[in-house]
Amino acid sequence: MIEIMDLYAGYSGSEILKGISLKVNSGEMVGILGPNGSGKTTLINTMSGVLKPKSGKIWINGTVIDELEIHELSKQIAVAPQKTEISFPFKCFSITLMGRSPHVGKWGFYSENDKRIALEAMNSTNTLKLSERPITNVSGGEAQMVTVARVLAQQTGILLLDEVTSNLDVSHKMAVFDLLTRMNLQGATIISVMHDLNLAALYCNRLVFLKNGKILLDGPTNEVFQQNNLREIYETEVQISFHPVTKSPQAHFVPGFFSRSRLNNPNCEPKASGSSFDNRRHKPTDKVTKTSPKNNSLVRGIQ
Amino acid sequence: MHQPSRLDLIELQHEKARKRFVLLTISLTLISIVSVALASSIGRVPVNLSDTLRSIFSAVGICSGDHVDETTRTVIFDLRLSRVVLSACVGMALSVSGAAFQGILRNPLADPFTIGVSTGAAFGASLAIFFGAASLTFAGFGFIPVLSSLGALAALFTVLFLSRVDGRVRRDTMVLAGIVVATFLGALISLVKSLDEESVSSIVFWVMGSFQGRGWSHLGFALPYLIIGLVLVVIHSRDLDLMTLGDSQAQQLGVDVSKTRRRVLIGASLLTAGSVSVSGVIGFVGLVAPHLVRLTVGPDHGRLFILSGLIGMIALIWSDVGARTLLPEGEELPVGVITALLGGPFFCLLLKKRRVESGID
Repeated sequence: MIEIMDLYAGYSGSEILKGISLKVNSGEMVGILGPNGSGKTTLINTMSGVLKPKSGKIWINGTVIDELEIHELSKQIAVAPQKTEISFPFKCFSITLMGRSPHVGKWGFYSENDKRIALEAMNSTNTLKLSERPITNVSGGEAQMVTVARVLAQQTGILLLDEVTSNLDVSHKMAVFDLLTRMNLQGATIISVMHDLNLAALYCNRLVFLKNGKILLDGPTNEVFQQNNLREIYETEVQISFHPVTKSPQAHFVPGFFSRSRLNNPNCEPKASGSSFDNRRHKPTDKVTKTSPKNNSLVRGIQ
Repeated sequence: MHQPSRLDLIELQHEKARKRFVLLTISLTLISIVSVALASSIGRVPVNLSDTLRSIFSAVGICSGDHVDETTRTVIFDLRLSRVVLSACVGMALSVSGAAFQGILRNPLADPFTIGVSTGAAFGASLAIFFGAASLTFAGFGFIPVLSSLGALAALFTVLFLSRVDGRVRRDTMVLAGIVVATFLGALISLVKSLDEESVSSIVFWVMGSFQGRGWSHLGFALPYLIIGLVLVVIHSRDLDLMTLGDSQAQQLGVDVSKTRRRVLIGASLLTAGSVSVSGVIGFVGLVAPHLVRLTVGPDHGRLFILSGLIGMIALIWSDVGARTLLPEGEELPVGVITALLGGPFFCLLLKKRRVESGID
């Protein structure tokens, strides 16, 4: 369980997070969404203890994060970073094995059991074929899969993932999130920063939207994943449909809207139209007409 | 789900790698022992190997030295063996220090020389001599290594300060800062030595390195620094592996990043300072040995430290043999000339041939 109260954090000179309060219970699968620079990665960094908050408090499983030893924290939270730049040609297996480091004593060596767990993690992420290749010599997507394997090998109750599927093709994206869903069903708490709204809606049952360092929306996916909300947050025209199989909401952004609205009407506030769209949310027929390009003038008219 | 054949195959490969490492360690250890004996028998007055061994063994009391005359024993044990052992220790220290700097700074091109630490140590030592502190001792420690360590640390922190941007150390600007600091301090050494009205040869000694006239006493005062440095660096082998992932990720895997960095930087600086205070600045050993090892057994720091230490020993033993025998009439070359002449082209070859594998890219 992670609880954050009134968190302010940032780097020297700039404040990124401005008053975040968030509670994620054990066993939740939460997607953190928001435009570039909204503070998603900073939030991950503060939750994993890498960045000290300027003010506010964070509790990890009931303990204030500052009171947890770095080593102790790494047994409770595993983090998959957005990008890894590794300076030396470690084999992919060695990288995965590093995930076992928190469980090895200060002077100890990796045991046979650690190696077995690392191999299992590689097996479940389908990266066994990479095990003997240097991490500096695999593709960006493959390196990301190895990072996922490393995080699995860490065997923590909480997983923080920062854009971990950004370099992956569709089948690998789905495979990673299917795997995460299975882990979530087994009790893991998963918090995943994502840019892919539709992927988030498919897999996460709760979404948190950040913008300008504040939480704009937080709630069950079906309640917050709505046209007016997304339009306001991303300042782009959007239509919602429902996934034919899972019935999850899916967003479709309308091309050309952003530049046109800005050019024609610099004072345009997409927010203003929110309520008028709200009523039509459950009428898919309306949306179909509006997505066609020739009707873009209609959209602008409403603005 | 399980693919036993694949797992067995991986296990087999790891077993092979482990065997190769053990084999390399044993053979390099044997080579360095043989090198010590051979190097001691080579010199202006040639002594055959059996007399050399008898002199060495009699001096440490293993057998009687009746068959060898007194002069030979003195030449072998006090002059040659002491110098060979000292060069072995310095070679080990510089290589381990290079591997540690590369690991902690996540910079494959870092080594005591390229980041200015060696020259800082040499400057500290020349200041100690300039102010006449060379003969002073404090609690059994000579002052030269003390000031040399301070110089090394001062140079290191200057370089770190210069390469620190926005609270973080930028590794790409580090080597640049190192070169600037090294050049500046090199000039200061020349200035101090000129003011002291010393000969050009003493400037050359500090800037290019030499073991001329060095013996057991020098080994004695360098050894504590080398041992402390070695311990500080080696206990963090696994942390260094994790830190190649970057500071944040290392911390998320349970490494106390700032403590590890402090200890490894101080440890590697002590290794450098101990070496430089007895031998001057010797380049390239700390750069080439770790790269060679990474190409053979991979970048794992535990193995890296052991094998580069051994390779550094052997390399510097033979470089010093070259330094004292290549010129006629007992003239000596600075040993840094030999290491640069051998190490430079060798390193270029590595750079060119195996960019990806050596991680220089």
